[in-house]
Amino acid sequence: MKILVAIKHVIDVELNIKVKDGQLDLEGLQYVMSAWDENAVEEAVALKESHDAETVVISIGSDDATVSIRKAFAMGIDAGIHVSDPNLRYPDSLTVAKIINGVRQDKNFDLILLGRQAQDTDNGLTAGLLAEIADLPFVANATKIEVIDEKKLKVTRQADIGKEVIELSLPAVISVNDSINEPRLASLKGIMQAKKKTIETMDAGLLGIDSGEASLVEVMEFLPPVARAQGQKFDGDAQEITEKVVGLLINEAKVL
Amino acid sequence: MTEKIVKGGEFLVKELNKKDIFIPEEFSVEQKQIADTARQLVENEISPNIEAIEGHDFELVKKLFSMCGELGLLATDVPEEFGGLELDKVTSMIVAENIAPSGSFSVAFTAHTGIGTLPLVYYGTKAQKDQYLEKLVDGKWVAAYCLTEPNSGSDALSAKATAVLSEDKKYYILNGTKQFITNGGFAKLFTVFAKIDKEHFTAFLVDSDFEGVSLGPEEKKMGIKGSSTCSVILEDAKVPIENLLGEKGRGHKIAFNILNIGRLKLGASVTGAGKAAIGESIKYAKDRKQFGTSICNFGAIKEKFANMVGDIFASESLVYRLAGDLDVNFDTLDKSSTDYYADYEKVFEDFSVECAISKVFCSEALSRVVDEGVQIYGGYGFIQEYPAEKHYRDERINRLFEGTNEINRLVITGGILKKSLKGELPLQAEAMKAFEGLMSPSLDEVDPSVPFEKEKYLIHNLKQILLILAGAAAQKFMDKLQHEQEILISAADVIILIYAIESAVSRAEKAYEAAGDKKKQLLLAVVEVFTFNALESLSKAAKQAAFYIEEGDNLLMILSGIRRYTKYAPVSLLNSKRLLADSIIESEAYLF
Ligand SMILES: Cc1cc2nc3c(=O)[nH]c(=O)nc-3n(C[C@H](O)[C@H](O)[C@H](O)COP(=O)(O)OP(=O)(O)OC[C@H]3O[C@@H](n4cnc5c(N)ncnc54)[C@H](O)[C@@H]3O)c2cc1C
Repeated sequence: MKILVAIKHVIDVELNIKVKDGQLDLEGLQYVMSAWDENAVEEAVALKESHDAETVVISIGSDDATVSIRKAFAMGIDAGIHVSDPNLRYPDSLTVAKIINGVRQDKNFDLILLGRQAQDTDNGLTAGLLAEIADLPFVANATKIEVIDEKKLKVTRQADIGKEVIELSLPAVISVNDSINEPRLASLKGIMQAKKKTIETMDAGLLGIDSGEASLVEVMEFLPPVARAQGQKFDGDAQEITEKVVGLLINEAKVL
Repeated sequence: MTEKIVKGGEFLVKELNKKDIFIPEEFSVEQKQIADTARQLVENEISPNIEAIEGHDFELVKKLFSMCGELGLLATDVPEEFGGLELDKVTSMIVAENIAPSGSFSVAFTAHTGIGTLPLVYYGTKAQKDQYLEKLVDGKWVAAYCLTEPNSGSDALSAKATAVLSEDKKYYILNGTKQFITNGGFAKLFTVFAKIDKEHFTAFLVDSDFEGVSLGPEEKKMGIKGSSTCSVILEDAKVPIENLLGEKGRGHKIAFNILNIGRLKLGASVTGAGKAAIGESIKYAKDRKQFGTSICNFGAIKEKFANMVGDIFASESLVYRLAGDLDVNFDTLDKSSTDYYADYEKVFEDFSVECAISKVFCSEALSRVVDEGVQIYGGYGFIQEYPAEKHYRDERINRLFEGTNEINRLVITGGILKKSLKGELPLQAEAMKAFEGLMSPSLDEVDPSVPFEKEKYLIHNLKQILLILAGAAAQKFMDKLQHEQEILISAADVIILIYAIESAVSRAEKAYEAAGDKKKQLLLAVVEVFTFNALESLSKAAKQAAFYIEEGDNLLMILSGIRRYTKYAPVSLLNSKRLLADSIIESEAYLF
């Protein structure tokens, strides 16, 4: 099986992010592989270990993205593709999906794994768009992937009401939920071996994508999150407090 | 990387070019990933289990060792041939630093990977390594190091444990008690030092299952309560002759060389502990409200944070500078040579002064940090439920083991004097020049608008002070100087602080080039804050030494020299402190 995992190199959202003049203040920020993509990488490596797959990651973005590719290598991924293009600094989901599809066609992958959404934009569009463009079957939000045979997978997905079990024929696209696995820590050996693996650089133009015009969506302005107002603590008699709180909910918060 | 190969001790007589210092800003992608692995292991697997560890759940500790083994964290200093990764010292420091927030486990970890494993790596035969090393690397066996005895601590070579060849000449029969052995309670392999025929100080590899080996009860300790510390009792212990480590009568070489590495690494560990303590304190100071505002908004608290960051910045700069210097020296050695580890030992010996500096400076920096940590927590800092209390207790051991800080200070001054006597350091000639400089007026002009220029000028001057003191002491006491411990200790303080200030300044100067605007300001600020603090301590030590050494006109001359050479105007000190504090409060973590 040939597996392609699409990973995004994102700002570490656990750190304080600041906005200056409608733009992100990039100084001092740190970048990491988007959390759901780590799950996708883990799933690919686990499939490789149990079923002898060939695993490749792709990341689209500035040269820094190679750091996340190297991290995927350290976790056990075999090869990496970096699509870099100065115009692709903030590509929209459709452009990303087109690029992944270009690479997919070029190299004949059986399975494309993605995180269910990116940690920075929370869009959750790429996987679905990719499946649509590529005209492939798609399972979103997978929590379990089992191999039936070379051409068939059994996939469990988290739906609104409980779980759905789906039989899926390859080639296919799957986006994963973070409950699918616990991404491994990269071992020191894996990290050192990753150094020897090479990253193939590809140009979006060669895949027939004009990066200058590609994005249909442009982010005009970033706004900082509004600081949440301080909570209130109520002590004393339960009856009194209940009355008081209900009063506040009706009159001040206006939620009742 | 550094351009030039720096030699041990030479920092006292040479100016450091920023090109010749390795700085944490230069960590490779792999090194950062290794840091992540160690950090995440602590966050996910160790920190949630701290209570069980403190309660001596050694089965859990052994499981954690296996996990470390699987991840390769025990393999950094071991050759590939025996399942290791043989990474550079900088990377070993990164691992030690990031494991450090695990407290007691970190002590077990560093004892295992350092004093536990390295004697075998450096001095073992191939057969010995084949037999034991992989088990230590994969964490199935834990290792310990048995040097100290009830009546022989700092004076390690006075050990009473004995080894006698058995009648059939197949075994050494060991007798004696080893005291305060870290990992003792569950270690399987002990490196034990004993004297063959009460004379030849020698190391042995002792399996805890050997006949005649038993353990004393666990000690009840002030801190690092989760680590195992007990005595190892040898009663006619039968150790196969194949298990003699290194050469008969050369145990002291092993003991001291391993201590050098331990001292270097202790610097990295306490740096990691300091960063963790800072992180906890900030979160607390933001949450805690008094007088209607977070206590982190008070200048008194902000100042503490600024000083804490200054101390840890210097520790970090110093440790990685030293590790980087060692690495470039090791890179010149021929790995395939049979003398590889003998040459390796020489490099460590050459840097024994710097290793001792790392131990003393960084452990004392941490002591200041955890003390202020408790203060920031107020009364809650005194209560066990809060992390500051544990940081405070756990810190104390670092000034005691791996050679007490007094012994290490004596190693520092003693090491410099020895290098001078051996002709490896032109201390006398430089001291003469420094005296001459003292007589002539100062003409140097420093452009304070050039970043770090005034600190670099200061460092040059501080070295003059040390040279003058060394020259005066040598002249007055000659070969009796070694008995004047008060002078040696004060001189050691001057040396330590020169190395620390120089490390911090040169690191900042090098990092400044590639830094963004915000970071540039922070680098300038941290250097100003730390330099000023360290300079105050250095001035005191230097004056003290002068009073001990000289009297009359000579004393006056030296004192005026100290005054002249310690001139430093930190004109934006208050702003620097506030900038550091505000930034650290915003980022909720150590800044650099
Ligand atoms: C928790 C813990 C773990 C340890 N782990 C290990 C281990 O794994 N393996 C091991 O072998 N040892 C271990 N030790 C022992 C440790 O290294 C010694 O305790 C230490 O070297 C000091 O020796 P001592 O306790 O006998 O103190 P002493 O040597 O009695 O020192 C007492 C005081 O006298 C000072 N002093 C002594 N000699 C001189 C001198 N010549 N000049 C000036 N001042 C002097 C010391 O600095 C100190 O202040 C451990 C100790 C502890 C507490």
